Amino acid sequence: MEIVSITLEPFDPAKLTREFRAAFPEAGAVTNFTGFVRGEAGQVSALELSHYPGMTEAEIERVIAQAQSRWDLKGCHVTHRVGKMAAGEAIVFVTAASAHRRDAFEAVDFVMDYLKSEAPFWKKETGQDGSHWIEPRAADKADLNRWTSETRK
Amino acid sequence: MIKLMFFGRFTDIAASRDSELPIEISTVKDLANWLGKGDDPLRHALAQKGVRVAVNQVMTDFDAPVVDGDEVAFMSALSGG
Repeated sequence: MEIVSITLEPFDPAKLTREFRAAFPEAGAVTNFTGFVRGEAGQVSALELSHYPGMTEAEIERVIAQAQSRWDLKGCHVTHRVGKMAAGEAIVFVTAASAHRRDAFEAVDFVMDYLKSEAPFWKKETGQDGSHWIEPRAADKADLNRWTSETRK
Repeated sequence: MIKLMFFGRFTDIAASRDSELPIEISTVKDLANWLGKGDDPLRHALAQKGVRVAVNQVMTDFDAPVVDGDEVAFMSALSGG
């Protein structure tokens, strides 16, 4: 399993969960997070995500390396969807394996906070009122700052 | 020749392309000023908050040097995943 996979095709989080587990059978803890395209009631909207091929993968690998130096991980993986996607489809999957649960929980949380505000992706949403580019919410920035203000480990 | 790339909002107003590098350009800032000359939408977009730049696929800033053969990417504020 590659460390980072960016795909134009829909992916199956359950299949990735099984594959990742098979790669780290000795891990006592495996956590994962799946993000889905939100469905806004009554709205017909499409989401299109673009990335910088090569650089986006390298940036995510850099953050996974940071997570690996910060927590005791056996492995970590990110799958990210790009292109046009519909409400309800999986957009991101992050998973980590460790001996004990805390490392795996925190590593996935950390990698997700990075992905939500600092990863090189651009989102364009098309709804009834036309297209617009989406930028991170203030809450996403605040989530990321949690990891720099913490003094532990 | 340099490889110019645009991402995010920039893709609405500028196309990624190869471009001859004028001799007087030595930094990303010089390049941005040159690109914005006579192109109001691009000049306006380059001045927006959150604009990022990468040289040879490494995030850097507007003071970074640019030389012939480089790949320079202008990116609007990142949306996140």
